[in-house]
Amino acid sequence: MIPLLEVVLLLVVLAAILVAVFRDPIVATALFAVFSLGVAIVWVLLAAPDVALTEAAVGAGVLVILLLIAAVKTGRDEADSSTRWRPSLDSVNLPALLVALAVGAPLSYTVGQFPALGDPTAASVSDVDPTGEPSPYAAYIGETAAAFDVPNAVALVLTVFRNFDTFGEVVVAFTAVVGVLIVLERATLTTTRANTHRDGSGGGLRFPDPYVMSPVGMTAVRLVVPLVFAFGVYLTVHGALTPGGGFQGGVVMGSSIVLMALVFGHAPTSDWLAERALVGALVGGLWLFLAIAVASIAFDGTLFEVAAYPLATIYLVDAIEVAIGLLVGGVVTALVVTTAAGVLRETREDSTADAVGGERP
Amino acid sequence: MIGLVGSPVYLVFVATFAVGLYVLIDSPNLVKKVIGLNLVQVSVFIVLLGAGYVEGATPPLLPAAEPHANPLPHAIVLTAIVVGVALTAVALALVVRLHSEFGSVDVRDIETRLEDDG
Repeated sequence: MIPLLEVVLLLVVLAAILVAVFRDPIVATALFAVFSLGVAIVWVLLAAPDVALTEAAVGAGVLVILLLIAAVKTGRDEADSSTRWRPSLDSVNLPALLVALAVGAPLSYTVGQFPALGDPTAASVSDVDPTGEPSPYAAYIGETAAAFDVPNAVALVLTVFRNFDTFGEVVVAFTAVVGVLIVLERATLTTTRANTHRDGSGGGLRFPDPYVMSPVGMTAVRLVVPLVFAFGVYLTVHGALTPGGGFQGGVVMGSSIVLMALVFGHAPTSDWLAERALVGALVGGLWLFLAIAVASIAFDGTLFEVAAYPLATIYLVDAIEVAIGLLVGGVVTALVVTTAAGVLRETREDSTADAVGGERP
Repeated sequence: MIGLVGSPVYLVFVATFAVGLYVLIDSPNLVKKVIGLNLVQVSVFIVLLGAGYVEGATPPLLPAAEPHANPLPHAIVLTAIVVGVALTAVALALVVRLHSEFGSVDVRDIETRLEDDG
């Protein structure tokens, strides 16, 4: 049995239940960060350091910031802060509880049929599949993997064995940025003059203006951000050898920019970011990945068959990780900065809004 | 192993899934609903990584001692986490947009407004 696992699992379930108990979205977001951190520890205990790195940076970092931005932007101004920390135990939603139990009961029966955790004969971790052939698991960590001379099997699966899937995933992330821009009716990722509101503000979070953070926070961020960013770069380019890679490194790089936006205010950070650099990271990452995938045809490979290159596979793994890191870093930064900037036409009284949306409350 | 309940890891999956579903139905606040959706998502990751674990497994770094955890669920889950945050951002952008159109993120308010508008 894994030491400490039960304790951390208890913490995770407790945090999840508390998310449900507290009705206020800001409090629930804070508890969700605790939940994510607990889950990241579970990933470490389940021997998945790559996933733990991603979860810690995303679940407890970027995701929480995004949720906070949305909660602050959509919360009522006269936030009933007195009741915020009051759990809503008195008003259990019985229909919702019944649905949750009705779904949970068959699920718990189903997982009861699963092989026990860590059972070496389970199909997912057995060296042979039911027909007696070597299983994919054996290929991913066995002789097939060893032939590529890339120690980190997760990076190998991502960039060599299943790189077509990975390409699909990064396209989805790229599309999400486009989706956010469309939904918020913005033309650019950063706040440029064209994106500025009529009243001259950047349209960001309604912090006191000029936005002031404590000098302690500002100094700490000045010291920490370059280190965090450098760590993200290290994770990206060292992903073939140790836990890490484009996804983890990109998320860490992006979260260092997000940290800056958090302390210095979103609008100054958005002004500081170069639109061209951000778009370049997004589009450049995507095209670099696609170029590597297509160019393998020139070496008598098929599309996405990077093993066809007359190079050690580790160089191609690194190149693809850099492409993913560029794109994911750009995606994370762009998502937070644009969501924080909000809908461009926030004041619509003088536009055609009346015909479409009726009078504003 | 046949039983009504599996190992503690799978039980946490069931509990988190059920709590996420409860939040999704219970809360009229759309931001809270997005949090519920994320709870459900993480609960599925718990099953995937649980299935990839072997007793006494080391991380899937080939020089480490055998047995290794299955790297495939790791690759799936870590991409799914990044795609998940991207899709959550789209959902939250829609929430922010709804707030700018209706002045509320309470589904009851929004439904009332829609009915009034006919």
